Amino acid sequence: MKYDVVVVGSGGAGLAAALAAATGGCSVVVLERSGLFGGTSAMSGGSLWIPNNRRMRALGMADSREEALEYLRHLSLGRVADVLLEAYVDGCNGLIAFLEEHTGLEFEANATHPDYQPELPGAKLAGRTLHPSLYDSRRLGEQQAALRAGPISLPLTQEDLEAIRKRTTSDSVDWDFGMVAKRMEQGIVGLGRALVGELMEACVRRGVTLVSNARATVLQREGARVRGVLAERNGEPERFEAGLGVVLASGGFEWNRTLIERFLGVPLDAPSSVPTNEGDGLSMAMAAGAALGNMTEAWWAPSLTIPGETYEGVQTHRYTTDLRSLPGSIVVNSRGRRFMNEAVNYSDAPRAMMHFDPASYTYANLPCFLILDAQFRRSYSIATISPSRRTPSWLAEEPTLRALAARLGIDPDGLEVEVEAFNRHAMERHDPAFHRGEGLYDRYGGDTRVQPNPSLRPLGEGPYYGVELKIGALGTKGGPLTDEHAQVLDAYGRLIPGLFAAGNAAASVFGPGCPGAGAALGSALTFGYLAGSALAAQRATEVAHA
Amino acid sequence: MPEVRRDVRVSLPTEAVWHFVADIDRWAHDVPGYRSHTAQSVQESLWTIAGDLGMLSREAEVRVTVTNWDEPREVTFTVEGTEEPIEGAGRFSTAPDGPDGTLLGFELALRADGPLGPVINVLLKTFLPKVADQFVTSLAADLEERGASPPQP
Repeated sequence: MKYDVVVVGSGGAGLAAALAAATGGCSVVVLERSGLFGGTSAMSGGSLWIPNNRRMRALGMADSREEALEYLRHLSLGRVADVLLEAYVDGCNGLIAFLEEHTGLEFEANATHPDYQPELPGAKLAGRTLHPSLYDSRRLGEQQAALRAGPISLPLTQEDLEAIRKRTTSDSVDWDFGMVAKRMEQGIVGLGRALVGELMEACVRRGVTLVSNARATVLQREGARVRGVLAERNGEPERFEAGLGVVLASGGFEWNRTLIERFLGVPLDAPSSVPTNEGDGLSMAMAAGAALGNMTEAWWAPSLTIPGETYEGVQTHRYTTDLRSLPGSIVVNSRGRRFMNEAVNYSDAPRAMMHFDPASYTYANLPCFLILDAQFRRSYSIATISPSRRTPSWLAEEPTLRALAARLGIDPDGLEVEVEAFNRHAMERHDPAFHRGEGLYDRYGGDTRVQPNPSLRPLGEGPYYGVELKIGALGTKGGPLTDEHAQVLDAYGRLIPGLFAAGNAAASVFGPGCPGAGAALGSALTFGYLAGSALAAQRATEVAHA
Repeated sequence: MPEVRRDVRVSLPTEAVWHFVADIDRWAHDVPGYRSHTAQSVQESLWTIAGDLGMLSREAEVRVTVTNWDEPREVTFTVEGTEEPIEGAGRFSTAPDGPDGTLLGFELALRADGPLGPVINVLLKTFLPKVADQFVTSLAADLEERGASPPQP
């Protein structure tokens, strides 16, 4: 089969690339390895981190290109070239305008969610995260059943999630899941499914061919130029020729144990993305001689595991946010010692978990455990369990801290000493060791009824609860280096003709950092859009010359 | 309350069907998502089942209590989640169909409570028919293959 553009992967990056290329007149095919379209994007919250967007300005929130760049320069620790940061900051609002013109997507700015490192220069307290509205998936027609659903895919908006969150920490806010049930029966979807659904619909309307159960494994080349892919489609080999180029948008390698051990350098044991993310794009890029970057990084997330909870037949994991920032919780290592501000954002928290101690030659903070007191258990939901429900076997429950420690494999003396010291300071709502609750992001994740520090109080009476936290990830974010148009560079810094990469299949434009909610999707769609636009421009040039 | 009914014919006399189903160990594995079960008493048993509500599959423990054993006509039972807020009831019935055949009937109604109850009940509308289809098909095949034989030690 011959097309102008072959896109490998049907998540946000792939669909944005496909739509941009198709809108520019290219014939496009999207090859999806699994039987469902949408990748991890469809499982996600659907938010995009878009600095200096017009929606936040409409809410009276000021931002600027310069502030966004300043923030990203700090966040990326100087490891990302300015030309790429600028491509993102300048391109992301072009993406939003493009999506609002060519799809049914309408975005709203989140008026309360701060950037993940709000104390860094150039950060903002709210407004940079955009989220989509609900989508009627019946508009997909026969493709409706092919829209991927995540483990917990409810037809909610981000505003709904904020309201549910507030309900947990407020006595007065109520929430009606009956309304959610009605939406489900009507085929309404939200969050990541809404984003992907709209992209799919727009792609099909523009003539993009969507092919599922087609795993691209080999790049086809003519000299240095990439001319297509060889895929395995329903078990049979099939060539897809690309007259202009191939876009690798097949996600990261977080489910490939070999690549994790080869590149990440830390024990990533709890990915929560699509299990087909095994680094197909990375492998093809490496075979083509691509330069690699950011290979030790991922969209990290401290995660817990509910044994027997599977997604597509594979044990899945749940990443934690509020569980670590609500008051009445601490995280300790096996010596019973705290080692971080538990309320820090989920992407940066695992950096403390992965600390390697050269003296003991071990990851000194692994395993680690989330410890909760009885008041926490009575007040807040914990993953699948609400306060009124019986405690399941995956959450250890013991009458004393010593008994809990013994059950989990924590030094009982160490835990008692640590909690006693923690409580002494927490009585004053103070955490001299790790400054929990002092940061703006900490307070966002806390309980506003607990003052003066919404994230901090002494641990109270038992029973006590505990569960192991692991280093998880929403995806890896290392891969082939690209230029500002998402075209892949080889080891010598030369462009590989006909090869593009976007999303988690490419080296992240943010380097080690995660600027805020929607960073992964924002960068994935932006560089997918830039790749598709570049290919459309190539076609226009060739047509003009022909 | 989401509910389902399925009927199937097996080529076994009714007496042999009852002899088979009276021994839970012979057909427990036919329950979709079956992980384990333990008999608590003659009437009561605890089951661990992996429930597949769409993409997510989660193990849940349920208590099954036989409320009426009316051999060779029907058995009725209740189902209650020990950790999940789910409850329901079911019925297994038989009727002779000729000298060597039996019509099996299986009915199950399940309902979720709690804040997420309305959402889970929507998912159950899809989940229950799939479970019933798989269970009845598997049980019928098992009966046809092993129903006439004595249980293996």
